[in-house]
Amino acid sequence: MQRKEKQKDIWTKFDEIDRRIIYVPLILVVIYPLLYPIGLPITIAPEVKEMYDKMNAVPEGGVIILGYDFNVAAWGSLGAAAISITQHAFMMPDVKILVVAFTPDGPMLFDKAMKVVDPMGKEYGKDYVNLGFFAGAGMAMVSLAKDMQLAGVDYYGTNLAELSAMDDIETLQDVVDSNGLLISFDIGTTWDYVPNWQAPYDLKMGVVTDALGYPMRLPYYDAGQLVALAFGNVCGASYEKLLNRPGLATASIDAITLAEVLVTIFIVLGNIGYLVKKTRGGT
Amino acid sequence: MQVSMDPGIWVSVAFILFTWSYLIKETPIYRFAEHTMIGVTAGIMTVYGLKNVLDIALTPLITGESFIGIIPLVLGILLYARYSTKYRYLSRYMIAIIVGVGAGITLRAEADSNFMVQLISTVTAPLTNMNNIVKLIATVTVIFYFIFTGPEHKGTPGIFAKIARYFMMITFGAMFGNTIMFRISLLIGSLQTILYDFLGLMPT
Repeated sequence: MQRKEKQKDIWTKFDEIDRRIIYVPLILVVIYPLLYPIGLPITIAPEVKEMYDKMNAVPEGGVIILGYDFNVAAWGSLGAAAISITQHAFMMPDVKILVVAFTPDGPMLFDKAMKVVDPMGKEYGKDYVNLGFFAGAGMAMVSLAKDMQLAGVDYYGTNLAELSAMDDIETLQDVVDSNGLLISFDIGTTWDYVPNWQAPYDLKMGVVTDALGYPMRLPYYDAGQLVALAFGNVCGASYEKLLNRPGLATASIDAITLAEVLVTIFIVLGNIGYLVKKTRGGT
Repeated sequence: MQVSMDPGIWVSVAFILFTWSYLIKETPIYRFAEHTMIGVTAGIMTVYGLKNVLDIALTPLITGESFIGIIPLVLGILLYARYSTKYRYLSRYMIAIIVGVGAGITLRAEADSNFMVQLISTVTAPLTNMNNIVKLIATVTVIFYFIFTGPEHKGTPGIFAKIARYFMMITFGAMFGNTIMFRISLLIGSLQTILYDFLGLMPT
């Protein structure tokens, strides 16, 4: 005698759905707006406007340090913001730009960004320098702060003495005295920058991080240790709008929005299914 | 559509697809991608480590620019004394220096910048702003929850523990939401590599 299968209602079926079936609509919802942007309105986030204003406040002759402290995996999250903020730095007249990295991928990611960024007439060696990667995080920061020419050569192997951009920059104090600013694109170096650079030298510091790390850095921002804090593609899209240069983030913000709406719908349906099952005494 | 001829992009896309094969099931190509990533990361870290030693310590020593690099070079070599049964004790000097310097750097600024400044900021924030009020209540109740455990979570003091649990649940929910945002950003980054860089399909 065949056993009659227990009738499954929609909530039970949904609860038991193969997760691979959920991936398909998610990928479709992401791919479509990447190819055919919907054009959802982009609101400039206040924290991004604050970062933009802090960048503009760096006076002529000042030094901007760009900390490319993320890895290739985080390019999707931080890449667009890094490109936009780097572009902004290059648009500022008579400002020197130093690029440092305390993650191995950092210098390569700067090179990747520079394929898209318009140097606006700034020359390598004269207006900007890529100092490369420094191993050791906090310890490396302490040493670098005392001697910004610690490595002796830049990322490409050129002697720093030959680069006029480094002429007036011997220690981190020189950057602070120029009313400079550090913008770090980071996934974990804030905890080293703040005690080793920001606190001892009173260096103005802004951070762009991923969505996951944003809440963990809010205490630093609330305490005034960070002058600006923003995250991910929201920062990238807002910054592109401020600079009037739509790019990767603008192209991806529609996809992010739709994907998150879809995930929210799935979460709500999943929770309804769970509550229905619980009400019926299921496990 | 113009498929890229850059071998780097091809390798990148291949490994993205190899990794995504895990969504179907664990496959040999996923394992290959995983092991390759681990191997390449280890290789890059080794090269960068050696480059640092070369640039900061060895080259100034050879050119006569600075001789202080000889100290970390010698101490670094002493680390390898661990592999000798007879001279293993020599490696402890370098380990002691590493731990000591690390502790010194940490104590110098961590206590102030990662603890005191934020504590003062939380406690002295003006209570005219709802955010500050919520922040203060959450901080006090969650600290109470973790410091006082057991009997203190019952009765009247238990109200603090209950409030703390609600704040923590809201926090974990927000962190979950942020995690989803981050993961979706990673997915979009990979898809942009495939669609824009590899296939040359630009948004219309």
